[in-house]
Amino acid sequence: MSSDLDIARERELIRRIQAGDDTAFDEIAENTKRAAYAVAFRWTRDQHLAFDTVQEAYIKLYGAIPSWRRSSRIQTWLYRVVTNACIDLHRKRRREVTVSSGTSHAGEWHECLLDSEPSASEKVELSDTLAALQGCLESLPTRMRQAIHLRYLCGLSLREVSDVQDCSIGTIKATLFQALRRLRTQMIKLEECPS
Amino acid sequence: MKTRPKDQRNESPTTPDDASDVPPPELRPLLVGDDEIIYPDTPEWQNIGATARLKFNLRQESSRSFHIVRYLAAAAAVLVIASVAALRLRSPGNALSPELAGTGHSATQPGTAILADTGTAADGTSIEEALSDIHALASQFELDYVALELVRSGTLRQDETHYVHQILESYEIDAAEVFLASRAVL
Repeated sequence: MSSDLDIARERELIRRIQAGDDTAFDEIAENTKRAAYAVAFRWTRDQHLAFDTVQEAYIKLYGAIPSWRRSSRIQTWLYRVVTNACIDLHRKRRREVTVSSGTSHAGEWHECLLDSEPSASEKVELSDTLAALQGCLESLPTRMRQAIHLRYLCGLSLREVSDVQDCSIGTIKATLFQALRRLRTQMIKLEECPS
Repeated sequence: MKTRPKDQRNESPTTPDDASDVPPPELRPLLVGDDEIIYPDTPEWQNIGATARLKFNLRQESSRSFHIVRYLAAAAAVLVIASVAALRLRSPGNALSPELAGTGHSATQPGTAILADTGTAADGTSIEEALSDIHALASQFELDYVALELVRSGTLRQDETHYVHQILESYEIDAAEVFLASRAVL
């Protein structure tokens, strides 16, 4: 998953924005918004939340570009901002759900995941799996969750994930390895002791 | 954006060096294909760059107003302090008057003593009026301070002052009334 802008074009657009040309910002947004939205949608499973998250990211980007000195690509920066916002949003919603109804957020979360499932029996079965899987994912440290999400659920390359997390590819590989190991251990525990 | 058929996603890394693109089978239920992503179809989405620019500029303006309020709050605080000081030091000639000396008031707080005894400052302002003015300024200062703290702590954004007003209303405080009273003093 990558932006439609090549590096040279992106740098030129950044220069134009810094010189006061706002249409260059619109061009950047047009070329990066679908990929950013896809990441947000895959995380939130909600059209409105995903849009709000992406819009906030662009508002931040517009504020950041005048002093843009980063070597990273804008798309990578957007992935980072969007996933961090999703993580914050997820935490906030979990707190709200816990406080308001005393129920687990996993329930609400997997209801969204089930939206496209047709059969009732499949729904029940998948519901349990999704709830368990989501619960296990949520229990992982933030960086592990982010790495798993970007790498396996959004299809980013190891290089892109390493850019988002600002670390080496080796570190990402190790993070993914550890995350999957933890995930499997927890899933096995759940299967052995479902309650 | 790369799209992989779900049935090909059946391998997973087993060592840290495994750089496979294939998501592990455990994560399969969470996969969302590109065709399952619902993109918005609104003018805001179609013009997300322009919308973001507009919102950013609105927030900047709001932020500027916020800074002005902050300076006003600071000015109000200074004014409150100055008012108190003025009340205490007003009519220094009376400080050592025989009446005061006779009644045992401290010579270091002459203005206060006069006000306490007569209820009137040297220029004829009643003590109730003076205290009411100070109270109006102090109230506005406190409301500004509360609003600042809510924004600083991240509870509210700078453009969400209406929430502050709602909170105040729940305590039967009319922010507009406090604001007008403080401006009347200024």
